[in-house]
Amino acid sequence: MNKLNIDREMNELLQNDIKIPDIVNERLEISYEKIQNGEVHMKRLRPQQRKKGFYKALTIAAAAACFVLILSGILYANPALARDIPILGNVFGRLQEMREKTPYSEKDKTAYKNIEQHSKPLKQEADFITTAQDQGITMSVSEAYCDGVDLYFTLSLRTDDAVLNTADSIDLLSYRKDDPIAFWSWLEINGEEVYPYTTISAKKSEEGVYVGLLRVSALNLKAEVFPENMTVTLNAGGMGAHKYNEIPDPNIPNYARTGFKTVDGSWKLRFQPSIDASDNQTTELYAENNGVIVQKVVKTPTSTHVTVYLPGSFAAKNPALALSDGAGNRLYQETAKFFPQANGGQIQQAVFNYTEASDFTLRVYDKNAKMEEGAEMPPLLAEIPFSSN
Amino acid sequence: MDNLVKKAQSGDKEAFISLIEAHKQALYKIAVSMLKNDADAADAIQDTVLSSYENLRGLREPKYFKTWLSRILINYCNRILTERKNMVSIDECPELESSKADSSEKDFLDLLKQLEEQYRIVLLLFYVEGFSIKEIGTILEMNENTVKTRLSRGRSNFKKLYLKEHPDSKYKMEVQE
Repeated sequence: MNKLNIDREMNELLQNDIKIPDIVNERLEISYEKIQNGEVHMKRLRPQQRKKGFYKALTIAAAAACFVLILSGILYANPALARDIPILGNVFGRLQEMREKTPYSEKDKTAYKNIEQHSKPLKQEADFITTAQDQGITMSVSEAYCDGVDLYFTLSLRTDDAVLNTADSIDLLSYRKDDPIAFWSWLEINGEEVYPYTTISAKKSEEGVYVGLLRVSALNLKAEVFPENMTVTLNAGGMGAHKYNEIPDPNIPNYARTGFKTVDGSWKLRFQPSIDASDNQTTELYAENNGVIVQKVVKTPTSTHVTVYLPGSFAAKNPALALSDGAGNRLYQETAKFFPQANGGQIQQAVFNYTEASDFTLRVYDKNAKMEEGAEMPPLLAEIPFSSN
Repeated sequence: MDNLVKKAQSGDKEAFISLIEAHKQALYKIAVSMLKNDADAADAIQDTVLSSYENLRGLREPKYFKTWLSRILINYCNRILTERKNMVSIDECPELESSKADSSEKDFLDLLKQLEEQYRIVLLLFYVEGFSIKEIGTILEMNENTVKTRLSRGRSNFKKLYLKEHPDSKYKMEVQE
């Protein structure tokens, strides 16, 4: 092979400037405007990220160590007490506060308040473990809510580890039998392995405190429904520390999981959330346009689930769903799950933000089509107005 | 460029915008080669620009700005790919052929379309961005040997594809199988 000539030819081709499409330029302009108008702010470095913060960090670490010594002394003396000590007072309050501090809080419309209102403190019975301690890290689950479609539970971590404390988020890791490589943790529901919407992790709330709200879809279970008597088990064998937008260290294997610091240990939680679907509103329907069929809408206190059939002829169009309420407000799509059908079509279970609306319009766009000059949206494939209960 | 990064870190918004403009071509090439459609590429680029602005002060070494920015973009692209992975096979996506008129763009996109996924981003980072093998390893979280292997196989694949489409290549006679 004449490597030099191939390199030269590849350079010529790949390094040529290509035309940036209008949609990209427009989005860049929007971003620049947000920056210039002060809608987006450059974050200040936290004290511990500055050199001057070293002594402060040392003081905090020493104080945290004292606290843990005192706490662990109490717990060692009376392990039964550990279960009764509230690790964090108000996890939902912290989650809400963290969300509001983000510059794009409007992008995350998770119905925290509704989840909080419906969540119940977990049973503190002998068979259940809601707090686990190891390696100076305390992990606990305090509240949970299951509407039959999704399961939510709070997760909090408390640590005195000064290095771990520099993390923006901590991922839970688990090891499979005889495998030394850590994976992102999973849950077991009545013994079945199941993964939440996101990795099981907690974000920094304050020095030494990390909190998270985990969400598991029933669709991730084989039966696609939560069992009536549900026991959830979380068995973590490690904690991986991460920073936002970090550059992975090539010297640390599996950095994406393990992060810049990993603490191995054993934290096992076992809890039993109860299912309460009494506030769900389910509407079976058949609203069709251009082969697209809206089949079902389930409105839960936390989100809106729409089941849609898409014909096989749309597969190459990369169809995008947009749901608006009767007033024309578009609902943010949280996620979707896809079920290929034998006829080449597809059933999509799309999850949108919570809404109190009962009139909707679903629009399906051809995301792969060339945008007409001056057009704001790609070509429309289908438009389906429908109502739920 | 390092001075521009420092100015931007000190709060100079115009300096930051100049930095993004200077890297716009690279951002678009990476995003479109990973996502294969302009709408998703625009989403990923916008998120990257806003997120990088917010976190710019966390970048300790200005010389790593390009690596850092690329890594953020690739993270956003991967997130979009994860969200849509079950939707449609990118091999079925006709956009790259149908909607591009400019010939240099078409050549670029045609080439990318035909390259296997695992080689595409490595070749792009190496040839377009000029990243070293070590830097690519860092950005893609791969060890250097994997990067080298993918680069070598990608280059070989490119050669076959390019000569198939350009039988009149001026290098044809010099290339040996």
